[in-house]
Amino acid sequence: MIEALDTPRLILEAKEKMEGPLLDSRREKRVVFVGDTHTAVDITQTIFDKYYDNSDLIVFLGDYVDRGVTGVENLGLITSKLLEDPTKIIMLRGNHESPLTNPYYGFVEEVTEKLGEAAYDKFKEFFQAMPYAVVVNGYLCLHGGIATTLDNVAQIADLPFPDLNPDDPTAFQILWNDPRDMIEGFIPSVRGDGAYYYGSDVTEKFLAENNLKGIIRGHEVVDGFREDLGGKVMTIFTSKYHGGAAGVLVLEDDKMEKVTL
Amino acid sequence: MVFVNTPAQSLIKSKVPIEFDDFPLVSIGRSPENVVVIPDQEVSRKHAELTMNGTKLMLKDLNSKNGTFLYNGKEFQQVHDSVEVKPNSIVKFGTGTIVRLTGE
Repeated sequence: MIEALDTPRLILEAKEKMEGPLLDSRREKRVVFVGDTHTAVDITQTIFDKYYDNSDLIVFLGDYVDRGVTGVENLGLITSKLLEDPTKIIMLRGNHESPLTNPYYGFVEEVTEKLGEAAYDKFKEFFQAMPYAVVVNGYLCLHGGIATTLDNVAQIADLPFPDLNPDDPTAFQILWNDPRDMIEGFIPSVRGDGAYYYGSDVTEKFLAENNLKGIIRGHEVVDGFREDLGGKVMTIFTSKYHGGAAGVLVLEDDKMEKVTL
Repeated sequence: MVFVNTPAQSLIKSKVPIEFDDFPLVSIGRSPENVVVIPDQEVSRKHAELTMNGTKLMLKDLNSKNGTFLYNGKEFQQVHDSVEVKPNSIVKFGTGTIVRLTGE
């Protein structure tokens, strides 16, 4: 059981294991992908109970905090597992690992209550060290999606880093954009200035030019899963505050299985 | 029309057929009496309407509180009164609902 008081130490240790904005590509036999958990520490625990021992890699797609009251414990649990075996856990950054959202969706208040006001600075340190993306078995994994300003995956490695909010438009879009296969090109998103929907043509082009099988991402409240572009873009949601299903994707060899927890 | 975005996530990607033979005036809004009902608090009760004027598809904003916007390829431009819309136009109602008006 992770106590809230352990989390500041765990995240600072985990920060030392972070390797920049784009992680090295991975190829593994059995991989589990986890969408937004948003403080659902019990779901996170279920995932570790069910998959930690029998999987080669668990990829968390961001949004560990906000919208609940156990974000500190949720981050503590995931970082404790990451420290146990850093090759087995990937923690990508979501748009909620940011001072752009934390004062408004509950995390700053939660941290202040449990650890004191000054403790939030340690979380900021950790958030800005978190990677934006990784390619796993030919799938680009990130929180939101591709960006108007992104032509190839390798560009992500050269983004300004660390970038606290982030302010760089490409990094911002990676964390904030959403796929919509009924549109073409990029159109402005209702999420606000600087965020876009990415359409079918630009996604197909990006996948082809980068030799990718698809995109696996979180960021949207869906009933476990949503498929765009015939399954080439998979959205996963792994929390429960929305009253819907918490899903994970299990990729074994080339077979993708949707599991509802 | 197809929903690109709306707060009710289950409606995203869903299609609503628009038949001008059945409804010469297709009313759009939050109240249940509309032909197209959008469950979004930022959409007015009677928000906008679509009509066929000869071969032209016309979109009219009904003085909605949060406005109706037509995407011009670069940004959403507010619709004042009535404008012609082409097939595949992208329209925003209020702040959170976007639809695409598909073919025919």
